[in-house]
Amino acid sequence: MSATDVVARPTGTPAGRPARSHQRGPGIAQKLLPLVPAVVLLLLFFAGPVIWSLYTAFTNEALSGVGAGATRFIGLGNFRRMFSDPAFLSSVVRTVVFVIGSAVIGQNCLGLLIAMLLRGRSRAVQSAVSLVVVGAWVMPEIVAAFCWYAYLNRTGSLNSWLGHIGFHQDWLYTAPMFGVILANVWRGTAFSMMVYSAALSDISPDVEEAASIDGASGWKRLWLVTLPMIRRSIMTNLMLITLQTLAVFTTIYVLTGGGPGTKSQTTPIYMYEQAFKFYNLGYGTAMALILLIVGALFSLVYLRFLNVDEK
Amino acid sequence: MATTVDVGKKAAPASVNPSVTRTKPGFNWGNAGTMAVLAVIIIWCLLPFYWMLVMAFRDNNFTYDNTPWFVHTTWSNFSYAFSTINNHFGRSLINSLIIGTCVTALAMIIGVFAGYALARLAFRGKGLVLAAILAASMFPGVALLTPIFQLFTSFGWLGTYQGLILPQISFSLPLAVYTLTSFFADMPWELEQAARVDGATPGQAFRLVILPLAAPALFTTSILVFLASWNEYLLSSVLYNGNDNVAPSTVAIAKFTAGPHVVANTQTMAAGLVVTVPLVLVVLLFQRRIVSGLTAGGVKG
Repeated sequence: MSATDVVARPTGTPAGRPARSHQRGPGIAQKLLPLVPAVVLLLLFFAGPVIWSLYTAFTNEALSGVGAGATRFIGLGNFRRMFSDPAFLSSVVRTVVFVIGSAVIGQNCLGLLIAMLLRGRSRAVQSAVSLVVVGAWVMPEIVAAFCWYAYLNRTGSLNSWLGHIGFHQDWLYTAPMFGVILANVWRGTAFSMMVYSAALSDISPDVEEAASIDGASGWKRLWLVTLPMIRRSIMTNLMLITLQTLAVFTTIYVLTGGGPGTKSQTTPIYMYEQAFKFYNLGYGTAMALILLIVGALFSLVYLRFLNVDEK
Repeated sequence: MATTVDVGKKAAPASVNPSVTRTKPGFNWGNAGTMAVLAVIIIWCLLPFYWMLVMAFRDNNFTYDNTPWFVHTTWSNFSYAFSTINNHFGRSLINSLIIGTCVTALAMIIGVFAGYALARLAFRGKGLVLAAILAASMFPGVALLTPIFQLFTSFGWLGTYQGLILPQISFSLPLAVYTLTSFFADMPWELEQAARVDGATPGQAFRLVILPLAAPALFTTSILVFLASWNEYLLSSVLYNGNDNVAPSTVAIAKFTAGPHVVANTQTMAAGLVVTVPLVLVVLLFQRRIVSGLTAGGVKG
C-alpha cells in the first residue's frame, strides 16, 4: 500500500467503493449502529472531559484554600489571572520554543534527512537504521527520560566523557531547554522518518531523473522537485508532530521538572504543577483549555493548508 | 550534498543494490559520506540504550562511576527490582499486562466496528471527520487529566482497574479507528457483495469475508494500541492514586527514585531494561508491520 496517499487520505475521497452500493442494503440507522460504542466512549472520556473543563475553567475550584470549601463561578477570573501571570506567559514562550526546536526543526528535518539518506540503500542498511530509530521511539517515555537523565545530568555520562576532553558542561543546568529538546528529538524522530520514507518511495525516479537531465543541481532538485512533491506529507507530518510535542510532559518532567527554577517550564508542566501540586484545579483546567484551543488552532491551520492543496 | 546526489540512481534496478555501487572501482565519496552520516545517527540513537544497559548491570554503589564500559557488573539490580520488599515492580508488570490486554481487546472490538462503518459510509465532509479523528489522537492528554481526575473522584474510580483502562481506551480509539478505517477503505468491496449475492447476511459477510482479509491490519493496529498502553505514564501516574495493586510498570519505575529529576540509579535502569526489552523484541519481529501500520494511519502513539 502506498503510504503517502494514505497519510493524506483524510481529505481525499473514500477509495474503492462503488458509488451505487449505498442505495441498497440496510438503512442509514443500521449503518450508523456500529459507530455507537465508539461514539459513547469518546463522549464519556474524551468530549466529556473537554466539556467539563469548559465549566471548571470558569470556577475557582481547588482542593485546598478558598476554592476547596465553596467552589463558585468566577467568570473569566482564571483567564484574567493567566494573562497577567508572568509564569504562565513565559511558559507559553518556552512551549513555542520547545515545539519549534524539537518538532518543526529537530524531528522534522532529521527525519527527512534520514529518509533521504536511506533512499535506495540496501534492505540491510534500511532495516538496521530504522530499527535503532524506531527502537528509540518505542521505548516507554518514562524510561527514555530516565535514560537521558542518566546521560545528561551533572554527574552523568555525557558530561564526564566530555569532561575528559575539557568540555565539561552541566547540560540540564546551563542549557535545560536544549537538553529536553535533544531528548525529545531522539525519541520522536522515528515518526517523521517513517512518514517521509513512505512519501519518498512514492516519487517516481523518472521525475528527478528528468530534472537532473535538465541540469538541476542536487539542491535545486531537492527544493524544486522533491520537496514540492511530498508537501502534503510534510504538512500532515508537521501537524501531527506539533500536536504531539505540544503535549510532551513526561520527558521534561523527569529531565528537569521544569527547572532549574522555571527555565524549562513549558505550559503542560506549569499546568500540572498548578493542578496537582498546588491543587488549583480551576486555574489548571483553564490552562488546559488554552492548550486544547492552541492544539485545535494548529490543526485547523494545517487542515486549511491541506484543503487548499486539494483544489 | 550526498543525499541528493544519489537520488536519481534509484531508477535502474541494478543500482538499487548499493553493494554493487560500493564495490565499483573508483571510490564513491558521496556514498561514503552518506554512510558516515548514517553511522553518526545510529551511534547517537544507540548511546542512551547502551548507557542504560551498562548502568543496569553496574553495582548500585558505583552509580556515579561513569566508566563508559561494563565495570562492577552485577545482577543485584534486577533482584532488587523484583524483590517484593522494596517495591511492587513485579506486580506492576502484571498490572501493565492486564491493563494493556483489556485496553487492546476493547479498543479493537469497538474500533473495528467504527472503522468498518466509517469506511463504508459515504457522506459529505467525511475527509474532515477522519482528519478530526486523527487530530484527536494527538490531543494533549495532559489537558484532559484534571477533568478525568475530577470525574473519577466523583465516581470513586481512582486507583481502580476500570479507572485506568477506560480513559486509555478512549485515548487510543481515535488512533485505532483511523488506522482501521484506512485499511478497510482499501478492501475490495466486490468480495463482500459477492458473499451477499450468495445469500450471506451482512454479519456473515463481515465475519467470514472481511475479517479474515483484515487480520493483518487488525494485528498491526493491536500492536500499536498495546504499545501505547504499555508506555502510558502520565494518566496512570495520577489515576492510580497511590494504589500499588493496580499501578502499571511505568508508574512503578518512576517510584524507584526518590522522585522525578533525581539521579536515575542503577536499579531504575535495570527495571527500565526489563520493560524495554520486550518492546525491542516486538520491534525486531514486527518492524515492517509497525512502520506500515503507522504510515498507513499517519499516526503516532
